[in-house]
Amino acid sequence: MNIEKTVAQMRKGVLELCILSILEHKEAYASDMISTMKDAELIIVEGTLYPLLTRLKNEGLLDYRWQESTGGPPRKYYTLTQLGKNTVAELKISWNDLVSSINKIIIQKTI
Amino acid sequence: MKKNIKVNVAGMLFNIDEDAYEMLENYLNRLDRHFSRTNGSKEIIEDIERGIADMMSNRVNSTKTTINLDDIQEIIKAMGEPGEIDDEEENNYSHSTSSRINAPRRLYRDSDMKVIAGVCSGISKYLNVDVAWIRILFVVLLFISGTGLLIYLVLWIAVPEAITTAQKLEMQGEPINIDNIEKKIKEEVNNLGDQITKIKKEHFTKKKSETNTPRRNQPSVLGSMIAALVKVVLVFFGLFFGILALIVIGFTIPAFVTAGGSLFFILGDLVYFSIPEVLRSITVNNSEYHMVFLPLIAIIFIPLISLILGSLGYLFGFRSEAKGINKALGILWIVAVVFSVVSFFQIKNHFEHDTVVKNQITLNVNDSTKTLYLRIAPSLMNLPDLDDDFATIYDEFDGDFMVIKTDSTYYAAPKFRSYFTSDSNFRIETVMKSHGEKPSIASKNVRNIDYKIVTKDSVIYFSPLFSFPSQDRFRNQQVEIRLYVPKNKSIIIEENPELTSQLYKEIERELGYSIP
Repeated sequence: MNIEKTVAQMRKGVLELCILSILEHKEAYASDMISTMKDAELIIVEGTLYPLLTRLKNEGLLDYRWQESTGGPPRKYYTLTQLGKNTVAELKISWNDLVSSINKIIIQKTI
Repeated sequence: MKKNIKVNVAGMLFNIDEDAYEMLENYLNRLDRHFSRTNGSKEIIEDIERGIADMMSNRVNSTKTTINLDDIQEIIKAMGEPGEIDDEEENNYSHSTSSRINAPRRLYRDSDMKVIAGVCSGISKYLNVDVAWIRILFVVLLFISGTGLLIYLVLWIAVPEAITTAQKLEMQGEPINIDNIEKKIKEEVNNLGDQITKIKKEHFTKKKSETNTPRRNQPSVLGSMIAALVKVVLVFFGLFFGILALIVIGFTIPAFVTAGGSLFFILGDLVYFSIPEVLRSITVNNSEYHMVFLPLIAIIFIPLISLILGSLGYLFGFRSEAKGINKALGILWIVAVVFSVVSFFQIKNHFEHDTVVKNQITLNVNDSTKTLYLRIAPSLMNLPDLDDDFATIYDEFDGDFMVIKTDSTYYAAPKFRSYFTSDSNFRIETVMKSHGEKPSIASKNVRNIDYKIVTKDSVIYFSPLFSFPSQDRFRNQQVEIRLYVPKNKSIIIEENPELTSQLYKEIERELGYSIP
């Protein structure tokens, strides 16, 4: 088994939930999210984020506004739409369910 | 001095080194092509560009105003290659292989698969042949007065190494499209990509020595050249010994084949002694035979196989596996040696005692007979038909060791000796010898030796061979004929015109040599 690949796929599945959760409390631009997720070791390369953000925005979960920055290019600050807020709430429930059922299996197996 | 370019990234102006610019442009083009079929590709690229511009702006300040190659490399590494970035399911590449044949192919050296410089693996990619064949071909050419080495060196110099992904695809003849580049990049993300970046980095940091980039600890050019040279020597040594071992095996195998007739046989120009036949003739039963035979095979072939394995392992990159197998073979070899020592003493025991029996042949000659006539007469005994090979073997060993086997009988040639004597009459004596594990067995073995001499007046007929039953085994049975010749008398060898066998003629000649 290619552990690296499997782990990468696990991460992939939860990336959307992470982005949405980060944006739940405050608006953020790409670099903010990247540093948060890098700290949590969820992302390896920054580039991964951009297609994801675009897709979520096109699906109507995110919205953004432009903001000038000092010294750098203008930044896209993302916020959750109402649909996004509903989605993240649902995803969180699903996530917690998933974690508890998987833990059940894993723990049973180890005993 | 370095050329600087002003570049606009996401609406921001940057000063960028020319080589760095090329790398950035190349990267953005790769991204462009990668996302060309994704929804919202334009926006994604713009976002990424903005991200890059963001990172670039963090890398310039009032003292450092120019983006250099290092910066771009680090930015690209942080941003990720197109294959890593994509969040969609991995693309299906199967469709790209079909167009392989039509793609242009170029000869490169393939450093991913190299043993020395990747010439062979490059050719194998070019011709779409397994690399093993190319390597074997070069090894064969190497032995034609070193042609292989010359060709290899020329190709090493003349053929460029496939460094970029595009070159690697060209080398394999895969069309250079985005799918394949991506696939390739993924393949090399772990190893080669890093290495190339390192090499480039070293290359470029040297070039622009005016910038204060920290120098990296890279092996010196001289060092890597020496390492390459050592490798070349090692590979050739490995090859040499591997091939030597192969040749030795080739020449040794016949010795392990049952000759079916003789303990010795001729193959090509070589006289072999058949190990199974010799062991059968010495050992008393099957278990003793195998106790000697199997360890002997192990002792001879294990080192040879191990040499070949080691050399192949080096050539085809399974050195660690080869080492493991060789370790096991080494243990097996030691076991075989122990067995051999034990069975050696057992065999030696069969030859512990010896018996010598002398016989006087009664001659119907009187004092007046001046000359004795000797003839070789195969008809005296029931001898098998023998081919000319036995004559060669007989010749090769000066009459020793030649033991011929038929169903239940062994045949060997007697030895002729002649001496001057002060007696007035001719005297002929036969001396029969044999060994055995006990004196009784040794003398039984002597009794079982069959040899015929017939005298008819002054003519003596000698059988060319003596025989002994195969159930007695070979215990160094010997027959020696001693001719005692008075000073004033002589012996004449009468050539027997009826001798058809080359061996018998040879024995007749040997008899002649023994006469003073």
